[in-house]
Amino acid sequence: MTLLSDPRGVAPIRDGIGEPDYGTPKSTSDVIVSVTIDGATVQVPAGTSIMRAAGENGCAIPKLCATDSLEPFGSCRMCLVEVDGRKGTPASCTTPVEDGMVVRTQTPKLGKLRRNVMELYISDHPLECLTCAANGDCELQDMAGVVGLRDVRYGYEGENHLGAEKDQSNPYFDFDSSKCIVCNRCVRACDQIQGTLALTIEGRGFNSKVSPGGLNFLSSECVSCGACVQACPTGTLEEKSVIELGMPTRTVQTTCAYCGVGCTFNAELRGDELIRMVPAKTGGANEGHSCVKGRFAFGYASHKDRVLEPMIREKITDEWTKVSWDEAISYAANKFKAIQAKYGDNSIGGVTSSRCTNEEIFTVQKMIRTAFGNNNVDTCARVCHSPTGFGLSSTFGTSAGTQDFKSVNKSDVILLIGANPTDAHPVFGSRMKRRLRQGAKLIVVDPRKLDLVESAHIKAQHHLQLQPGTNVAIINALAHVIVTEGLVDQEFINERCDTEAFARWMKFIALPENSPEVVQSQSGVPAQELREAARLFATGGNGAIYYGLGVTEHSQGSTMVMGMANLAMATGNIGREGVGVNPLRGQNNVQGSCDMGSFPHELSGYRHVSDDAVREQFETLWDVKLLPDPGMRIPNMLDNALSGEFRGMFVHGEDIAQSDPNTKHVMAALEAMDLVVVQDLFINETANFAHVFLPGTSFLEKDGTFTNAERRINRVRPVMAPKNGKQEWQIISELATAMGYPMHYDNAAQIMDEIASITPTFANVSFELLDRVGSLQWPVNAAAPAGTPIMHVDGFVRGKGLFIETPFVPTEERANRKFPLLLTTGRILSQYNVGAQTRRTANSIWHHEDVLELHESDAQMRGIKDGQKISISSRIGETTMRAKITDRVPAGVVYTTFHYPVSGANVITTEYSDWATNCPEYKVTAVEIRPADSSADADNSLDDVLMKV
Amino acid sequence: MDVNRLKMMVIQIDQNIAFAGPKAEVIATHLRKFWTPQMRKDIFQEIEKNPADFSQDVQAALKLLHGEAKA
Ligand code: SF4
Ligand code: SF4
Ligand code: SF4
Ligand code: FES
Repeated sequence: MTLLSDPRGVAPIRDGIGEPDYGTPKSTSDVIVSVTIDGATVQVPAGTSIMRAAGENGCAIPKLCATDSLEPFGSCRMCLVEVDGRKGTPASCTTPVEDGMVVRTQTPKLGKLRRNVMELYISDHPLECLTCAANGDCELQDMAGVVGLRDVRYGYEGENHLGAEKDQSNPYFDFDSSKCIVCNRCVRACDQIQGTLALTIEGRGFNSKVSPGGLNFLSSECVSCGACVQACPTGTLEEKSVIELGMPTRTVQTTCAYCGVGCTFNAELRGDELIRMVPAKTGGANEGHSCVKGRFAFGYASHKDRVLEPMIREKITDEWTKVSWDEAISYAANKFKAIQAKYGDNSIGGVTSSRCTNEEIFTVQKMIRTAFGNNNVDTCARVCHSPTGFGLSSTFGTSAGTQDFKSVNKSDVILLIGANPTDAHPVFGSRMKRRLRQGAKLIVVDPRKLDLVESAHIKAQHHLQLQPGTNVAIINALAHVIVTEGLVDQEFINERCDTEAFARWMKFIALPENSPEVVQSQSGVPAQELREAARLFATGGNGAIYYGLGVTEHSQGSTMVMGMANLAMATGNIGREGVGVNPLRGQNNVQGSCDMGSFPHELSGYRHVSDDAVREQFETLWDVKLLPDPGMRIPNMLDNALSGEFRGMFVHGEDIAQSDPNTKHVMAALEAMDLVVVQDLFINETANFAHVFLPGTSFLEKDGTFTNAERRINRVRPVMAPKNGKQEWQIISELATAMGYPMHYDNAAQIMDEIASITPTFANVSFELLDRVGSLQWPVNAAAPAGTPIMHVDGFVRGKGLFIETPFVPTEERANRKFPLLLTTGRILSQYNVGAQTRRTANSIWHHEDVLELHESDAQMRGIKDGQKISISSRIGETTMRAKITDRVPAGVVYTTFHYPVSGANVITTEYSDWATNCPEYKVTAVEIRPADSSADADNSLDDVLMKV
Repeated sequence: MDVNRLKMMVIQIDQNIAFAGPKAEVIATHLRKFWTPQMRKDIFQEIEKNPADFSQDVQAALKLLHGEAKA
C-alpha cells in the first residue's frame, strides 16, 4: 500500500490554521532545569515532559496519543526517545526532563520503531485520505509522513475495524469508528476537560473501542461540548460542517457571544464561509474549552429569519415597509424630535443591550445623553445583575467580581449560591468540576437539586435546599454561626475593614433572629446543616463564593449580594487566589454594559451623574451639557408610557417584551408609545410593537470588545462583512447625527480610545494592546498596565471594606391558598435566554420546549401525570407547559426555564423587584397548577421546532 | 408615574435599607442617587396627601429632598 501524507510536521497542522500542540501541558514550576536535546541545550521549567521541551525548542517529536490539553497517557509508543544513561526507549510524553539530561529524538533505531508502530495503525485504517473530511487535519496522516512510512506490509485480509458503523446522531459531529486508533484522547478530553465522563473504552486489546454509552452520542450523557472532537487526532470525530463543506483555510480569532464566560474562539473559514468555531487554547477565559452553544450553535447568524433591510411603519398594525438606511434613520430621528417637541425632552429614552459590544453600548448611551439630551438610558442588566453592582460597590467599592476564573483552581471550599454553572456557564462549570474532583469541598445553596449536588465523581458536602425567597436568611445564619462560634478572621478585619461598621454588623448578625434555629423555620434548611456548612466555609481553607441570578433576581437581591460580601470579609476570603465573591454573569457583555455607563445614574466607569467634576470631563469631550440627575430605569419608562409621559424608546438588541417581568404590562406600555425603534437581528416580540426596525449585526460581523464576568476585555473581530451593510455603532452615530448631535467614528478602535480617555479603569486599553496581549482584565491603567486578574489585593477599592447590616425581609410574594406553590426559574445548557438565537439552531434537539418540574407529591395531589400538559397560573397571568415529575425540586416548589415564547414564563412573573435596583423578582412567583384543558394546548413539538431551524 | 408603584418602592426601601447613619438621611441619599427628580416630586405630593401611609423616616427623607429641590 502507498500512503498519502502531509510532510509538514507536527503543528500547526495547516499554515495559519490550528494552534501549536506541544503534546503535554505546560509545567507551572518555578524551578528551571537544563536539558540537551539533539545536541542543543535548552532551559525549561522542572516537570516539563521531554516531548514539550523538545517541541517548544523547535524539535517536534512524533506523537499520537498526546496533546497538550490533556495529561499524558503513554499508549501509542510513537514518541519514543533515547536518553543517555537510561535503558530502552522511554516515551517522551510521560517522561519529565531532569537537569543535565541528554536526549536524542531522531536516531535510526527510533525511526524504525516508529515506522513499525505506524505500520500497525495504518494496517487497520481505511486508506481514504484523499476523500476523508480530515484530509490535511489528521495527525495520523501527518505522522505517517513524519516517520517516513512508505509501505505497509500487512494487508486488510485479517480481522479489522474498517466496516464499523458510523454514529451520526449528534447534530454537529459524526463518529466514524472505522478511523479510530483508540488513542483515548477523546475519553480523556471528556473526563479531564469537560468533566462529563460520557465516553469509555469498551473491550480489550484488538476489540477495544470508544463507546459513548447508550445507543449513540445523542442518547448518551454527552453534552456536545466538542472537546473530544477537538482532541481526536484522526477523522473519527469530525464536525459535520467540515464533512459537508470541506477544510477551512483561514482563521479569525474572536469571542463567543452567548454567556458571560466569554470564550475565545478561532473562527475557521473557507473563503467567506464559516466552517467551524474552535475554542482557542490562548483564550484567557476558556483555555481551549467550549460548550455546545459557542462551539456549534452559530447558525442563527445566517438564519433565514434575519432581517437585513431597515423597515418602518406608521402604526404597529400596519405592514412593514422596507426603506433605505437614510430613510429609516431620518424617520426615527424626526419622530423622536417631534415627540420631544410636544411632550418635552424627558419623553424619550433607550435601552442598551448586554449582547452588544462595549463600543456599541457606549455609543447608544452617548446618543441618549447627548442627542436625546437626558439620562433615560438603562440596560437589560437591570433585569439580571443590577444588585451585583449595588451590593459590591457598597461593600468593596467596585461593581464587579473579584477574581479571574482560574482562581477556582486554588479554592478549597466553594459556596455556590443560586447559580447552575454546568448549564448556564458551562466552561467555567467544567473548571469548577475539575477542582471539585481534585478534592475541593462544595456547599450548594439552591431550591433545586442541581447536577453539581451529585454527579460523576462529585458530591456536594452540603445542599442547603432553601425555600425560594430566603437567601438572605441563609447567608445571615451562616454568618451568625461564624460570628458566634468565634470563626471570624479578626486579623483580616482589623487590617482591611472599617472596624466600626464591623462592630455594628457583628452585633446585628449575632442576634437570635439570625440563628440557624430560627432560620430553619423560614427557609426549611435544617439548623445543623447550616451550622456545619458555616464551619466548613470558615475553616476549610480558601473559601470562594460563586453566585448567579438565583441571588440577584429577588426582592432582596442587593441585600444578598452585601450579605455574601460580609461573609467573605468576615472569613478573610478576599484579595488572593482561590477566594472572592464572583458573580456569574448571564449574557456575554453584562459586565461591559454596566461598565460603559448604561445605567441612568452612572457614566462609564461607575461614576455618578451628579459628580460635577466627572460630568465636566464628559461635557468638554462631548461638547454638550449633561443632566446631573438620574434618568428613568426600564420599569419607570414603562410605567410612564402607560401614564402618557414617556412616548418613544430606542431598544438596542433586547427583547423586553419577552425578557421583562409581567409581559402583559410591558406589552401594554410598548403599545402606548408613539415610537418604538428596535435594533435587532430578528423580528422579536418587542419588534411587534415597533415602528422602526433597524437590522443589527451578529457577533460574527461585529468589530469591538466584550467584557466577561471576570472583567476580561476580549476582542470581537469581524469574521465577515456586516450582512446588513453597517456596523451598529455606525447606525447609532447616524441616528444621533440626524437628531442634531454630530457623532462620527471611523472605526470601532476610535470608540475604545474615547472610552479609555474618559474612563479611569480602562485608561490603557486599546485595540492595539488587546491585539498584542490577547485580553485584559480591568482596571488597566498606569497602576496596573497588564490588567488586574484579582481585585482588592492590597486594600479595597473603596479604602476599607464596609460591613453592612442585612436584615431579612420576606418577599411580599408568598404562597397562599389560591397560589400554594412557589415557581422559580433557570436555564438549560443547550438554550440561551429567550432563545432567539439557540432556537434557530439544531440545539433545539435537546430542548424543544420549556417544561415545568414538579415534585411527585404536588403532582399526585392534583392528578397530574408526567408529560401531561398543565396550566400554571399566578395572580398576574396564566400559561401552559408540560409537566415533568422529578425529585430535583422539593414539594411546594416548581421550576421552569424561559427559552420559548410559547411557554411565556414571564406572562406569570410579577411586578415585585429588588428594593435597591428594581431588578425583577423572577425567582419567586406564587402559582397554582392544574391539568390543562385541550384548548390551552400550546404545543411545541420537536418536529415543529426543528422545521424552523 | 404610577404613584402606587412609587409608594411600594419607597416602602420597600424603608424596610430594607440598613446603611449606617440617620435613617431619613440614608433614605434621602438613596432616592437622590437613583430616583429621577419627577419621581421624587410625585412621591412627595402623595406623602402630603396621605402621610399616614408612610413611616416617619420616609416622611422626613422626602421633606429633606423637597427642601433641596426648592432651594
Ligand atoms: S462532546 Fe463533550 S461531552 Fe460529548 S463526548 Fe465529547 S467531550 Fe464528552
Ligand atoms: S475517536 Fe479519535 S480521539 Fe477517540 S480514541 Fe478514536 S482516534 Fe482517539
Ligand atoms: S461557556 Fe459561554 S462563552 Fe463559552 S462557549 Fe459556552 S456559551 Fe460561549
Ligand atoms: S504520544 Fe507518547 S505514547 Fe503516545
